[in-house]
Amino acid sequence: MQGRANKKYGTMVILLALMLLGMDGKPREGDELRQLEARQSQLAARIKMLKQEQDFLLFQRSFAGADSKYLLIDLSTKTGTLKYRNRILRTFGFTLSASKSQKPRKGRYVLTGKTDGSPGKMSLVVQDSFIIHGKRYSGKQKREKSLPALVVGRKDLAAIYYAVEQGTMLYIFR
Amino acid sequence: MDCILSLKKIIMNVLSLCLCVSVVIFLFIPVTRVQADDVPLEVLRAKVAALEKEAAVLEEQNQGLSRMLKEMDDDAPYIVVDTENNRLTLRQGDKVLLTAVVGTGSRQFIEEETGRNWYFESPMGSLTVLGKERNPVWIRPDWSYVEENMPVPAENDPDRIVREVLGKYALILGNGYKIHGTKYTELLGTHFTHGCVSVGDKDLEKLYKTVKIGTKVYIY
Repeated sequence: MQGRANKKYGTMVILLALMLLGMDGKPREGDELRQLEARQSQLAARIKMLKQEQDFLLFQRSFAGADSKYLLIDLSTKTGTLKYRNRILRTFGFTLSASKSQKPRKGRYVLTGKTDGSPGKMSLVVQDSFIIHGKRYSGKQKREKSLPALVVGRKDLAAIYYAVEQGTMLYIFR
Repeated sequence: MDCILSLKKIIMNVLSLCLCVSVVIFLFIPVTRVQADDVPLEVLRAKVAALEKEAAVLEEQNQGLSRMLKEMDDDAPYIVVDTENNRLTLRQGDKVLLTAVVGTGSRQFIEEETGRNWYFESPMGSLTVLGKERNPVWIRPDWSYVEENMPVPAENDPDRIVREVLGKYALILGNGYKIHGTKYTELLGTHFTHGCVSVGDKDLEKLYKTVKIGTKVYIY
C-alpha cells in the first residue's frame, strides 16, 4: 500500500518537475510578446510622425520651384510665415481666438475664401477649418462663429490679405 | 498509523489538485492568450521587422528631402517689398538685415486724349536687380508729361533728362522700374510713386552697398 503511494508520489514529483521546466520557457515567450507589442506601438507612432514630417517636406519642395506664395503656420510658437519659394516674405505672430478651444489639425489647407477688404471685416477663410482675421473683427458670419480663428495684427493682415488669393496653400505644422 | 495514512492521502489529493490546476494554467492560458490577440509570435516578429524597415526608409527619404531643401537655400541677401504697408526688408535666410519705410506705386490711373493710359502700380512678383547706378538720371517718360498736361516731347529730347531727383543710387529692376531715392522724403510710407520703390537716403546707401547684381527682389 505504502509502495503504491510512494510510486504515485514519485510520479507526481516528476510531473511537477516537468511543469516547472515548462514554466522556464513560457514566461520568456510572454516577455518577448510584450516587448514586441511595445516596440510595435513605438514604431507605429514613429512612422506616423515621419509621415507627417515627410508630408511637410514634400509640401515645401513642391513650392520650391513654383510661382505661388504660400503660408506656413506654426501653432506651437504662434507664428506664421508668408513664403515665396524658399524665401520669407513676411513673418507674423497670431493668437488663437480664446473662445475656440479646438485647434486646427496639422496638415495642408487651401484658402477658400476672402471676405471683402473693408477695414475690420477683412478675413481669410480656410476651408471649413479656421479663419484668419484681425483684432477687433466685426464681420463674423454665422458659419464662421463655430470655427477657430487666428487673430493677427492689422498691418500683418493687410499685407497677407492682398498677397494671397483663393487657392493659396497653407500648412499647419507643430 | 491510520492518521498518518489519511494525512498522506490528503497531501496526495492536494498535490493532485495543484497538478491539475498547473496543467490548466500552463497549457490553456497561454493558448487562450495567443488566441485572444490573434497574433502568433512569429507574425508579430515579422510585423515589427517590417515596421522597422518602413521607419528606416522614411527616415532616409526625409533626410534626402531636407538636404534637397537646404541645398536650395543659397544664403544670398534678398529684398522683399510689402506694397500694402510700404515697407522694404532686406533679408538673408531667416535674418532681417534692414527694414525701411518706402514709397510704392500710387495705384492711380491716368489716360491721355489719344486713349493711351497708365496705371501706377509697383510691379508685383519676383524680380532681379539687373544693374546698379550711382547718381542716376531720370529720363522722363510720356506719362510724366501727360500727368502735368504738358505736350509730350520727342523721344530723344534733352528736356527729358532730369538730374538729382532719384537720389544718389538706384537699383535697376527692368521695364523702367527702379529702387531709388527721392526728394519727397515726407511721403515715404505712402503710395505716391509711379511704380518705382522710393527709399530714404540712409537706407538706400545701405541697400546699394549690400545688394549685388542678380539679387532677388520680391514685391507683394
